[in-house]
Order: sequence, then structure tokens, then C-alpha cells
Amino acid sequence: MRVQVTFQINAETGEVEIFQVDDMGRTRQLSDHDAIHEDIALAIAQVIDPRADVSEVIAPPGQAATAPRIPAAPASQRQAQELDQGGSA
Amino acid sequence: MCNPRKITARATRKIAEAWRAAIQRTARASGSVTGRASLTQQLGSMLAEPARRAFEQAVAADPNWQLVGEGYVLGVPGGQARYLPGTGELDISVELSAYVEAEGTASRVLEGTVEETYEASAQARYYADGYGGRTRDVAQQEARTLAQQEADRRAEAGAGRARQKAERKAQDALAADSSVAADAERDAQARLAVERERRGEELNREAEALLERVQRESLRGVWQTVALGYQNALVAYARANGGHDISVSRSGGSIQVQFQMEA
Repeated sequence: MRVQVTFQINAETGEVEIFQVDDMGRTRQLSDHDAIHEDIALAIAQVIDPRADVSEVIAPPGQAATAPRIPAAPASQRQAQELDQGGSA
Repeated sequence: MCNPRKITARATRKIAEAWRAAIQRTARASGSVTGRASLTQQLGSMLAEPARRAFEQAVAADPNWQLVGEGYVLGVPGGQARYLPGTGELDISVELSAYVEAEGTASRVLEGTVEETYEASAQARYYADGYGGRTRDVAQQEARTLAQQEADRRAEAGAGRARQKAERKAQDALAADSSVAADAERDAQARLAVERERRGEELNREAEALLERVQRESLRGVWQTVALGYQNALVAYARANGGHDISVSRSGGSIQVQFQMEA
């Protein structure tokens, strides 16, 4: 499975804006695909925070991939929470 | 007509002249007043462990942060920020000072009345036979009138002098009275205390506002350091795990890291 990792952080506020691990779509037929995808997403997320958790985002129709996403902190939250949540995503 | 005779009359005039003497003393007092504000931010609990490590490494390497005792100190406008790696606490304190002064006054008034009597005498001639209408009664009346006029003139001239003399004496007494200056000094100190209180509260509010700005600026530095730490950690991870097409880009205030890898 090949994945595309996208991480974006606002360096002014500490908000993690995007933290996403996309399946490039080549190994969707693997029976343990979801588990592998989640494992790699979690491993990458834990680079940022050992307490990280992941959630799955279903791709729009026409795209085969699902993209585990590490929740970014909502912009409306305070900086401390933003970074903490972003870091613990 | 026989030889003229003289008759002498005396007159007195009493005066009661009011006088007033006043003195005012001014004193100035000055000093400084300080407004303070501080806060403690628990960075240790705000930041995830890798971010905290990245921040602490950046702080240790940044010459702007000086290691003092168990913490790192950074000068900020009006104060300092101090980070304690042991507890993960970021203390920020600011202090604003101002010079204040006040003027105090005290006054004394002395009043009184000076009483004096002025005397005058006058003569007039008459004839025993009343020649030319100059009878004794006429002469006596004339002498009385002249004496009274002279007494009045003397009283008028003397009243001013008496009043001035009484006022000078009172003024000298007031000038020698050190309690007036002492009262002025006390008044100045009391006004200074009020001014200190007022300006102190103002400075505290200004310090709070400054603290907010300093906190925002200080934290901005923290977030930049943390963002850089995340960026470096992800790039290092990608390189160590066969990642390719690694890119780091900046847009506005954001840093984006992208790479691909095989799972």
C-alpha cells in the first residue's frame, strides 16, 4: 500500500489544519487493507503525539481510497487546545 | 474792644480698625508608582511530548533565552518570560513604572481689631465784650470744631498705620509658624497617595494589556518552534522509513509537509 501523507500546521496559532494519510488506491483489494491503512496512519500520527488517534474519511464517489485522518483542532478553539488536540490527533 | 482772650478746646477720636493677615504655603511631593501583571502558563500540559521536546530544544539553542538557575529567561517588553523545563511552566511578568507628583497647600488667616485714641487741641480768640461777634461761646465752638477736625485727621492718618503695623506683626508671626509648611507637606503627601493609587490602578490595567500582547507574542514564538519541530520530526520519519517525494512548503502562516511511502 502506498500512502500520501499531508500535514499542515499554522505556525502562528499552533492549529493543525490538515493531518491526513491517503491511500493511493493500489491495494484496496487486500482483505486487511483497512487495518494496514490504520496502522500506518497511526504510526505516522504518533511521530507527532504518542497518544494520537485516527478516524476514517470516506472518499467522494469515483475515488476508491479511504483516508484515515487525524482530527485537526477546530479553529474556534483556543491555541492551547488546538495544539494539544492537533498533537494528540 | 478790650484785649483778646484765648480759649482752648480738646477733642478725642477713638478708632477701631480691623486688620487681616493671611499666609499660604505650597509643597510638592513626588515618587514613582509601579503596575505589575503576571501569569503562569502550563506549557507542559498544553503541548504534546514531542512538541514540548522540540520547544525545549529550541529554547536551549536560542541565544535570546538565557539559562538562569533552573529556567530559561527571555526578555520581553516591560518584563521577562521564564520557562522551567522541570515543571513545563512558562511564567511571564511585566512591570510598568511612572513618575507621579502632587502639590499641596495650607493657609492660615489671622484677624483682629486695633483700637486707638487720638487727641487734638485748638485755640480760638474771643473778646470779653463780644466785639465783632467773637463771644466766648463762639470761640469755644470754633476751638472745639478745630480740635475735633484735627483729632479726626490724626485718627484717619493713624488708622492706616495702626492697621499696617498690626498686619505686619501678624504676618511675621505667620511666617515664623512652621506648622503651615508642615500642613502643606502633609496635604501634598495625601494628594500624592491618591495620585499613586489612581496611577497605580491605571498602570496595572496597562500592564495587564501589555501582558496579553507579550503572551501572544511569546506563544507565537512557541508555536513557530513547535511547528518547526513537527516538520523536522515528520521529515526525519519519512527519510528513515523509505519516504519519497518529500516536500515542505510554506503558505501564509502555515507549514505543509507532504511525502509518500509504502506501508
